[in-house]
Amino acid sequence: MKKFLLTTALTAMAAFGSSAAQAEQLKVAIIESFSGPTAQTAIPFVEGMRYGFSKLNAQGGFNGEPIAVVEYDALNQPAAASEKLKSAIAEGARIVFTSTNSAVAAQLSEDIRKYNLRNKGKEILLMMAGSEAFELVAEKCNFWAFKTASNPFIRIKALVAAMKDTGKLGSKVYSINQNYSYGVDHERAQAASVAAAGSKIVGSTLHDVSKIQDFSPYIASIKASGADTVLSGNWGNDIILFMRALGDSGIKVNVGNTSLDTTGAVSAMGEAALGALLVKLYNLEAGGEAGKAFAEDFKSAIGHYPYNEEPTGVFSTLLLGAALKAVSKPNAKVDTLQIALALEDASYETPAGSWSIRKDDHQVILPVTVSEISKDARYKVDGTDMGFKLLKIVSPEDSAVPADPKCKMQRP
Amino acid sequence: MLRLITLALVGAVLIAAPLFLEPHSIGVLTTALIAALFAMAFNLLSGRAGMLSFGHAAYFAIGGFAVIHTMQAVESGAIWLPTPLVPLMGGVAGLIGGLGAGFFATRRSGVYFSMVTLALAEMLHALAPNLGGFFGGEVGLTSMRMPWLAFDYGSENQVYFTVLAWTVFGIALLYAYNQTLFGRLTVGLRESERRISFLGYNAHHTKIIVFGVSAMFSGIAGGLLAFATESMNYSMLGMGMSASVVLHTFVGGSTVFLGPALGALIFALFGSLVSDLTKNWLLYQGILFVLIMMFMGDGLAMLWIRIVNECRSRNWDALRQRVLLLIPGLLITVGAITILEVTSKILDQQQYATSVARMNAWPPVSVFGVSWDPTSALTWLLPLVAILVGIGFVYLILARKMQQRTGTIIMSREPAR
Repeated sequence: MKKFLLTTALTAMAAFGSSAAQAEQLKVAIIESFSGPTAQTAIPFVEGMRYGFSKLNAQGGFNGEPIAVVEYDALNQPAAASEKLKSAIAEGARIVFTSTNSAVAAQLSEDIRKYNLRNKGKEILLMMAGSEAFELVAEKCNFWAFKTASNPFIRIKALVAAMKDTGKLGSKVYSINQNYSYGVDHERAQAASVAAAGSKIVGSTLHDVSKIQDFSPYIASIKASGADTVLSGNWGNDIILFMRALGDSGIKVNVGNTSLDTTGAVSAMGEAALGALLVKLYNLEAGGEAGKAFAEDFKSAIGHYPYNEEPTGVFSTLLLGAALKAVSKPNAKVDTLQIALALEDASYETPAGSWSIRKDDHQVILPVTVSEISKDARYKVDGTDMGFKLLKIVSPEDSAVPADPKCKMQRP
Repeated sequence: MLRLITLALVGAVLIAAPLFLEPHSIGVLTTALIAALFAMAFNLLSGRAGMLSFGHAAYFAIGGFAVIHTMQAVESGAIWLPTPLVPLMGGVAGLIGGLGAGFFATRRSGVYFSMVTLALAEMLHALAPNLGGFFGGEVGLTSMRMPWLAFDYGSENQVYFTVLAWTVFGIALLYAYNQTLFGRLTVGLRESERRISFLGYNAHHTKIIVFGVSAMFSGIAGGLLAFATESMNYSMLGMGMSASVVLHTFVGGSTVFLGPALGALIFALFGSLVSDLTKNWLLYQGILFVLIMMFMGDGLAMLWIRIVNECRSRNWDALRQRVLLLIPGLLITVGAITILEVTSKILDQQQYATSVARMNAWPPVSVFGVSWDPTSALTWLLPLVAILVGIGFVYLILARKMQQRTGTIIMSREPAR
C-alpha cells in the first residue's frame, strides 16, 4: 500500500515536470492500526483520507507539488506509534494524521509537542480525525495538534437537543455506558444535557467494556426505573448485544447512541434496531444536491457510498486542504507554523454545514447529524432494508461546547 | 573463549550502532533491548524456576507507571533524582508488586500457577481504566526527561545508551544470580520441589523471592520503556504484552541463558521492520513461531549452539546438510510469501476492488518488485511449484540423513553379533 501511494505520488510528480524542482514536497504520514483486531475501526477513517488527498492532489497539491501520503502501521500500541512517528519524521513527514485509538493520539501529540520544542523550524503538525477522548482538547491540548472530530460532550449535546425538538426525549432518562474514561465522559455529558433539556436522569450504570454477553439484567433495571428514554455511548458488541436484549424484552423506550453505524451492527441488531437514534458527524442524506454529488463522487473513487467514519476522514483532510490552499506558494518551502496558523482561520463547507477550528483549544466546530434507523432511509446499509434516515442537523453553533478551562495552550 | 569473543562482538556492534544507524532505527533498537531485558527477567521464573507466568505484563507495567510518576515528580521539582537512575524506581515497584502477587500465585504450581498469574494480571487490567488518577485513563500519563549534568536526554542516542547500560547491567546481575547458591536453589525448584523442602529450605518462601526478583527486573524493563517513550498507558497491562514475552522466550530458547534476549531482539526487530513492508506481518510472525516450535522446539539459541558444536567437532556432514536445507527453505518462503501477498492485495484492498469494478479487468499486483497478473495461471502455479519443489528437496535431504543413520546403527550392531 505504502509503495503504491509512493509510486502514484512519484509518477504524478514526474507528470508535473521538472519546473518544480526547487519546491519542497509536503509529506503526510497516516499513523494508524492497519493490522490486528482494531484495523476494522481504522480503515474507514483512512479510506476517507485517501479520497481527501486524491482530491487535494487533483486540485494541484501544495506549493505546486502533489502531496505525498505514506501510511504507517501503529500496531494499536502507543509505544509502537511513537516509533513509527520517528521513522515518519526521518522520512520527511511534516503533517501526521491519526484517527482511532485515543492512547495513540495522546502519545503522538505529546511526542510531537516535545519534538517541536527540541527542533525549532522543523515543526510537525498533528491532525486527530477521530480519537474522541475529551482530554485531548482539555489537559492535553497542544498548539500543534488539531482535533477534527467530536467528543462525547458535543455529540450528546446535539443528540439531546435534537431528541427534544423531535419529541423523542421522554421525561425519564436512563444512562448506560462503558466503565472507562470515554464512558464516564458520556455519563457526565448525558447528565448535563438531560438536565439542560428539563428531563430527569432516573438511573445510570457503568458496566465492563466488551465483557458482557447478556444485557438482560441491565434491561430489567431500566424497566424498574420506569425510564422512557435510554442514552448510551456504547460501541462495538456492547451496543449490538444491548439492542438485541432490549428488542427481546419488548419494552418500548427511545434509544440514543453514538455507534449504531459500525459495519455489521445494523444487520446484527436486526429489527430490534428500528427507531433507535444515532448521532454522527455526517449523514449521507444531508445537504440535498451537494450531498448527493459527494456520495456519488466518493462511490466512483472508492467503490461504495461513504459509510461510518469515512466522511470524517474526508472532511478532516479537506479542512486541512483549505488551510494549505491559503498558504500555498509555488516553489516555497513547507512551513508548518504558517499551515497551523492558517488552519486556525480555515473553514470547509461540507454538505451538512461548515467545519472550522476554534483557536482556544483547536477543537473543530462542526454540524452534527441525528438520524433514525428506518426502512425509509435513502441509503440502505449492511445488505438490510434498513438505513439511517436523517432526522435533524444541529448547527455548529448549537452543538459546540465551551473550551475547557484546563486547556492552557502554549502558542509559539 | 569463543563465547567471550561472540559477546565482545555483539557488545561492540551495540555500542557502535549509533555511528551507522539513523536516529529512528536507534529508537527501534532501544525497544528491542527493553524487550530483551523483559524476556530475560521472565525466563528467570519460567525457564530457571519452572514456573510459567501468563501475567508478566503486570509487573512490566507496574514498573513503567512507577517510573512515569517518578519522572513527573522530578519534573515538577517535588523530588530530586538523577535522570539515568529513574528506571530504578521501576525495579523497586516491580519487586514490591511481585512479592505481593508471588505470595498468592506460588501457593499453586503448574497450570494452576499460570492461571493465578493470568487472573492477577487481568484483574489489574480490568481495574486500571477505573483508576484514572493513577493510570491516567485512556490517554495515559506523560512526562519529560529532565537534563542531568551535560546530558539533556533529548536525543535518541542518549536514551539508547542509558537503556543499553541498564539492559547489560540487568542481564549481568541475572547471570551473577544464577551463579549463587540461591541461583542453584532456583533450578532445584524446577527439578524437584519436594527435595528442596527435604533439604530444609522453605520452598514457598524461595518461590516468592524468585517471583519477586523476576518481577523486579521486569519492572526495570517497564521503567525503561516509560523512560524511553516518556509516557505510559494502561494498555501495557493487556494480554498482548504477557503473550509476547512468552513468545520471545520460547523462540529464543529458555534453556540457554541468553536465549530469551536473542528471541526478543529478533522478534522485536521483525515486528517493526516487517510491519513497514506488509500489514500481514502478524500472520508471518505467527507462522514463524509455529515453525520454530515444530522444528526447533528448544529455540534459536540452541540452533546456534548446535552449529557451533558441529564446527568444533568438524562434523561437516551435518553442516553441509544445514546449508543444503537453506535452498529449499528459501524456495518455500518465497513461494508462500508470494501467494499470501498476492491474495491479500486482491482481497483486502478496497481500491483494488474499485479498479476491478471500474476497468472490468483484474490489474496486476506487485510483489518482490515483480508484477503478478491474478488471472494468469502462472501467478498461482509458479509459487506453488516452488513450494512443492522445496518440500520435495527437504524430504529427499532428510530421507538421506535417515538412511545414513540407520546404516550406522546396523554397522554398530555388527560387532555384537
